Amino acid sequence: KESKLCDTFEEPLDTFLEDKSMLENTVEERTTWEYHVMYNQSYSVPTLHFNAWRSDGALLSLEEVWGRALKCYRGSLEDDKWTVLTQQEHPILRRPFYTLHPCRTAEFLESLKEKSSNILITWLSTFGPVVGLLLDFQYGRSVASANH
Amino acid sequence: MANDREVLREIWEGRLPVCFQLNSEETYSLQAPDAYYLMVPRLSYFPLVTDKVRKHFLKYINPEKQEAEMWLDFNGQPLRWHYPIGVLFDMYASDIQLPWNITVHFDKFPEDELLHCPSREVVESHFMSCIKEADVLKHRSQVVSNMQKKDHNQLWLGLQNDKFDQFWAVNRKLMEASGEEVFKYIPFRCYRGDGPFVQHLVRPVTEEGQKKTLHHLISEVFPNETDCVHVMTHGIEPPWETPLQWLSEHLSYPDNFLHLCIQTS
Repeated sequence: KESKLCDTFEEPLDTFLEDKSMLENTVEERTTWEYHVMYNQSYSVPTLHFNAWRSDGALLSLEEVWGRALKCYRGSLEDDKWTVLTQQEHPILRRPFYTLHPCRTAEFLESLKEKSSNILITWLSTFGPVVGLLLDFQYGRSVASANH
Repeated sequence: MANDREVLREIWEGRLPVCFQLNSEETYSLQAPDAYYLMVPRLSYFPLVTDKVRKHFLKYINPEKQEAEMWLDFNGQPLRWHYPIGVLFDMYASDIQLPWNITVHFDKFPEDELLHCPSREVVESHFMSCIKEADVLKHRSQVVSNMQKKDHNQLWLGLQNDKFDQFWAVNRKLMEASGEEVFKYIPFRCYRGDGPFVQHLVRPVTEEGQKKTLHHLISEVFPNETDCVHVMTHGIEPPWETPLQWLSEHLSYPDNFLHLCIQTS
């Protein structure tokens, strides 16, 4: 591996700079995500609010959020995206946050009530990944051990 | 059942005179634009009624910003377009002299304060989600989800095109208590100062089945303060004895929520 590195650096500078793949590899786009879980009193369900910013501080647009969030659910959610994920006013902070609409959550949770010892973790592990929030495996372990 | 049609009609026809002016810092042309005057419906949302305002001012701003999203401010406060126009007015009423002077912007969109609104679909999505939430609060069964898509569209079109009959042909179903005498909970939001709006679960009747009034609602939401607050909606202060069920059926906005502005005396 070491010799390979030396090879790269020994290339003439012109060739090195023209190899665009080198440039792409060094540019890292970092997105910062912030998540809030709130209890929605009207629907009696938890709701997920989040925001995502590029490294220059700009908020991701709705189109960009849909593009990333709904990647794994192409097809069914694509048609309904306007009723699933949009910007809303955060109920406490009053700032704009992307929000997963609570209407479907109620149905989903109702069907799971008897089967889960921690409905909040079940909910979060199901809906979180839609918006890039992956739960640590430890959460799953705690639910599994409670079920035994 | 919202059967006092006269009241419904009066509420629907509420209008406000607005004077729109371009933010002076954004005037690109040599000549400053004329102010744009418009009567706006209290029940609607700014993005639905300001197409002509945008068109009027676009030619005076930087030609490279023609696609920019327009936003509004009053007294330096960005106006939350997702609140109905009448709600915004009542919130700031004590500071307003008619016509309502609003500043138009195309630059420096305040992303940390305002929701983006690049299209009417955004307004429709917001409007429909309020309707759904109000339905969940009012009805044990879900009237909205049992409606056909064309009914949802009719509500939206009725609002957009200012068609009272078209809107109420569908909305009357949402104003029925569906089997029960009253709604399960009253959909409402209270606005006070700068804080977040207040929304609680309030029933329209007491446990003994007595009709509750506006006074009951305010006592539950702002206990110990009923003597020193004024409640304004649609530019009026409803009497304290007004029954909540009637208030919800007749004085709700098209999104099916009561929007109450609270002022402390």
